[in-house]
Amino acid sequence: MNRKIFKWGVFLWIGGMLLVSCSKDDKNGPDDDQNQATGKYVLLTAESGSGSAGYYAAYDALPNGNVDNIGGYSLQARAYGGFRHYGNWIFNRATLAGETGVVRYNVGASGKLEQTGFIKCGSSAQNLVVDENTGFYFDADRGKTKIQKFNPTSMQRTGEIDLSPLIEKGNGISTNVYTGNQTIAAKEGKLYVNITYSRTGGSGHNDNTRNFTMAVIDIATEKLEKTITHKFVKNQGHSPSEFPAWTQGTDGTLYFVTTGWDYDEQNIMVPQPSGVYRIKAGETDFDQDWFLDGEKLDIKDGQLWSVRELNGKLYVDVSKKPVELPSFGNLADPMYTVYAVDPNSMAATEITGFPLTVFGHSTGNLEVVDNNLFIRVISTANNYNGYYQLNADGKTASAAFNVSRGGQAKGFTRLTGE
Amino acid sequence: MFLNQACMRFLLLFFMLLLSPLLKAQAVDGIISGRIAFENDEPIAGASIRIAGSKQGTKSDSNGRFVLTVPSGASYRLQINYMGTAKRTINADLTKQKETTLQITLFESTNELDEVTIQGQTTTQKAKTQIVKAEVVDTKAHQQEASTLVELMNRSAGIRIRQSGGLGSDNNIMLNGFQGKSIKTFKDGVPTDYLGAAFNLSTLPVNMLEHVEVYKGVLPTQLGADALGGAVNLVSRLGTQPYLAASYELASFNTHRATINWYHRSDNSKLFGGLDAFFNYSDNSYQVTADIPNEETANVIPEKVKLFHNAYRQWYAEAYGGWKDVFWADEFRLGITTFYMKRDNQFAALMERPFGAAYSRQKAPIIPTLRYKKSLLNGKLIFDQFAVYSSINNLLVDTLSGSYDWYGQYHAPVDAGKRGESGNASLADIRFSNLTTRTGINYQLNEQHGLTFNLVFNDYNRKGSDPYGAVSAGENPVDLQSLPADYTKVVGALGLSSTFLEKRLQNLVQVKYYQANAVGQEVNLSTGRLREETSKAKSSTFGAAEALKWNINPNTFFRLSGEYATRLPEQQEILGNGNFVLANFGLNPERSVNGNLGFGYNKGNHYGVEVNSFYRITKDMIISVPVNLIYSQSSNVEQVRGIGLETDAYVQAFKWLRLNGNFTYQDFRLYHVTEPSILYLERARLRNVPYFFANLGATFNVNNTISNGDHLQAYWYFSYVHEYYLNYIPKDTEPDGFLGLWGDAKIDAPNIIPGQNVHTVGVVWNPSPSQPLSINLECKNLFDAAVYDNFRIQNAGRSFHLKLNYILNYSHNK
Repeated sequence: MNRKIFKWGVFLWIGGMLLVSCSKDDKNGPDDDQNQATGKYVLLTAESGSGSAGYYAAYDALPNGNVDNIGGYSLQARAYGGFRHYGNWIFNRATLAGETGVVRYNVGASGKLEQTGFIKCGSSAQNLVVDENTGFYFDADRGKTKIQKFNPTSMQRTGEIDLSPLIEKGNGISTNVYTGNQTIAAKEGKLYVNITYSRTGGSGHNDNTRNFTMAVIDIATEKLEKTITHKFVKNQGHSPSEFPAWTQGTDGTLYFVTTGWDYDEQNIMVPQPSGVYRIKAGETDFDQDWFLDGEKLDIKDGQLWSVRELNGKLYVDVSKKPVELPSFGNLADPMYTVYAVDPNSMAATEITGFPLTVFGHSTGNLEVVDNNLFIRVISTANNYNGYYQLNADGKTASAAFNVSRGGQAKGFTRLTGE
Repeated sequence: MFLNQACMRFLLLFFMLLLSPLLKAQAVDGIISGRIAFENDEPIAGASIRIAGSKQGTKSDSNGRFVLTVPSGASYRLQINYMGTAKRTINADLTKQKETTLQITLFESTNELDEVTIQGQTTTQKAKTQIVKAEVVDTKAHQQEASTLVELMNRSAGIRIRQSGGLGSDNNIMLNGFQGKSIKTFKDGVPTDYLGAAFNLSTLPVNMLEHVEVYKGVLPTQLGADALGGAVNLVSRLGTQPYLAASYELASFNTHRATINWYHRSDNSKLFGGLDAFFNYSDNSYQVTADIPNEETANVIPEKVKLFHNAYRQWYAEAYGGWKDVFWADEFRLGITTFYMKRDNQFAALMERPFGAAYSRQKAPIIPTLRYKKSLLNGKLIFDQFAVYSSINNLLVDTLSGSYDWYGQYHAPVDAGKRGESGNASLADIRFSNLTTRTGINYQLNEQHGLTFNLVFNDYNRKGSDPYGAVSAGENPVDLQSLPADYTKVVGALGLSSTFLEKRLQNLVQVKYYQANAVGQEVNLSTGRLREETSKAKSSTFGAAEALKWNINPNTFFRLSGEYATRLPEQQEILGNGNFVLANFGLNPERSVNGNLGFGYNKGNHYGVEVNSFYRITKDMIISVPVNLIYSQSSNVEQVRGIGLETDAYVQAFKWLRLNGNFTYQDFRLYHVTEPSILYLERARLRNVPYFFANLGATFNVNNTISNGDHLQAYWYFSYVHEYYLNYIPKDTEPDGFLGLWGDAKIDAPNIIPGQNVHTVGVVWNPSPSQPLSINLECKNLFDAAVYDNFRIQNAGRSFHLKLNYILNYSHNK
């Protein structure tokens, strides 16, 4: 049965490839459009536990069946949860040896990934590639209220933008402020950077004392245009994570995820609603009336993490049970499912046909590859560690490939090959 | 030739017969008596005492005593010989008296080898031949050299100590594939926890030690510890004959090392006292290749730079005194130890960024020790009690505002509120107190069997503060360093040692009991806050060991041992740290079944070979495992098994040339991997552990070089460590070559600890046997190779050392 579904999947995929649009939009982000991709498929797997290793493997064809991710096509690294991708490049926040910074990988002459660029940072850095020559990253060692610029082609730092003029000051306002440590996104020529008013002594990670605020900067002129603040969300993403927890729709809308795991001034967790919020295409402020949470998916207190957009539909994963807080005791339990959501009507359909999976951690559970949605499924009970692929019906998913060696699946993409 | 000898014998007999009436006529009324012992006062049985120029002589008895009757009114030169010791000539003056009593100490010798073989053993030699397998590092034989203890131990089979930097840096000893907490260190049979880092393998001068015993399997009953993978017993320099020894070493990187060992006793030998002290200082300013970031582009460029904030200074002193051989005690010894050490911290893991101000300091003003030893029932029952209380202050300072670059230049802070070069500011001021007692009871049941009981009790306590450290969550945040942390451990052992077949078969059987109690505070997972009440945990288990040695003949032996060993979980492993490390009350002790099989053959000092193989199967190894986004927890995860082989050999190629070498190959691998996503790591070689290493050495001895009667020893040591991987690689991707030693891995695994080829050469010159001075010149890492013991942490390159050694045995002629 599975084989039949798989064959149909392959057939539909080939058909889809032939019919796919050749138009190119202006969107950018951690996972760029892959409609034009002709390059290698990259699969990252990683062992769990201290001292563990990860494997980047490059494949000529879409992996299928049981996949051995360790071989002559693999590159071993110290374990990292995930990666970001732009065009023909893979980006990570640490070198193969573990030094922190912005690291670029390419497929080399050997057909394997090679480390081809390294910008040294003081700590693990959020980063964003806007285009071949424009990128931004956070480096606290150069200033925690600055954003650094780099050229992704030469992999050199090219300057910095000081965001301190946008930081609000006054009585009762925290002076322990971080900018860009959690969120760096861009759309329509504007850069969006988080401004976190962390608690005293806080790290700026999920400890915002105010509502989630972003600086809006014009990329071309580097003009600091304004700040925008969400009316109730306090945070976005997870700053120590490779997974940015935001995506850009084909129309240019930015969708952000908040876990709701917020700590107060006393470092006590005070859970907030988890969900997706957005800045619509053509806008430069939050859409304050739009918030996709578990209740809209009929899952009370469901926790959202992964988000992708494909062909106008938004895909999110959500836990079917509340996450035990503050212990995170059940985060490794298979309890996450995936919904397809119409971003306009909020009409949601649960994708079926795959086992529930675990929290997406640093990789997220959703990938768009070859204009298809792939769902990362880790289910020990079902002996599955790999990806399912959304079927053409848009409601069900079928097994794509299962990783037999290399550790847990931690990220999947396709290079453009340009 | 034969005729000459016969002729000489005939002439000698003739003259003796001729002179015999004359000799008889001379009054034989003088007595030369005495006692011969090693430096540690151990009596030497069978030493030869001969009057120079005559055939008259005798041998010492089992107590080392001898008596010679000679005519008085003359002075005699006694020549004393004993295998493995330097020949001694002593004057006995009977011109004004009819009797004289001598206390004669013989010293071990490694360069003067006598053709005459007289069976005898020093303490070091005894340690080498005991029932349980011990690698004995003869530090005393190398006291004249600038060798460090780490170098000496690394030249032994089966031992690898890895250092993360220069003098005073952290070190990690590996025995048979096990390392870290699995290996316990002792000082004279007592766990060294009470001395903090002061009695550290990487800083302890060899001149402070008699020898080092390294146990890679069963531990002797008198070493009580929950050592899973072996133990190191540092045996202090033994002295019962008065002496004063001093050494001073001047070396590259502004290194100065000095030692003083003094021992004195009263004329009647009842009172004794002494001092063991050392001083270490080094800038450790060696060159490394650092990745230096460009200020503008932030790209890194490898460049050779000198370390600039890597100094280490330490002093350590132990004064002691007491009574010996009094009616109420065989030995009653009181000691006071004090130490101070400060280490500048130049870099963190990976050597990726320099620190210019962070340092750590440890000090203990007074550590009192007490030892009481008494034998009863005509020596059949021996009671040995040791007790110590220490309070050690540990300070970790990382509060700099700003940063340093690799050239040692300071840069003002970008963020004025940020402190700490490591990213985690610290002013942790912690006091560790430790009460340790060891009770040993030996009872000799009969000539064949002896019972030994050993009980070690440790009580650890930690108190402190860190204004920059982690605090608990909630309205009243608590400094986690101030939380109570108590840990009590008891290890008891009962051993029966037996000999059979006229002592050719030796056997040791042991049972052990381990118990640990931990008290601390943990996080309440439902609130994220610290629990108000303290938590308690108890862990206990039994163990057993068996060791057998068969001495086929005086030159050949077989050795076989097996052990069910245990390491108890430590306080933080059970209770967490009250912050992000969670408690785990279900944590089991680490358990290991260890087996050793050895064979040794030697032809005295001419040549010898020893082969030892070992097998280990270890369960429930404790490692820290991430639980989720926030927390980690100690868990029983890894299971390891494997075999190893080590071979040690020496040959006295010529009278002036001695060669030695050894190699170790160990094949320890994960087994019974249960985590579904890493099942392919079944039988993967242990990560980050050297698996093949070897040593070669040559020692040249010549006399009458620079001056008449001098002695020159030149040496060359070569150390090799095969490259190994930082991470696990599956077995089927390992290099194909023999034992995985040749060829490349079948995956691109760039995180490798490179192989080492290190050459050391040196000379030791003794101006004269009668002068207690030696001068040593040594060059370590002759070819200035880049040496890495740990991933990305570079050790020192070529260095030059000058060492002066002085020993005054001021009671030799007493």
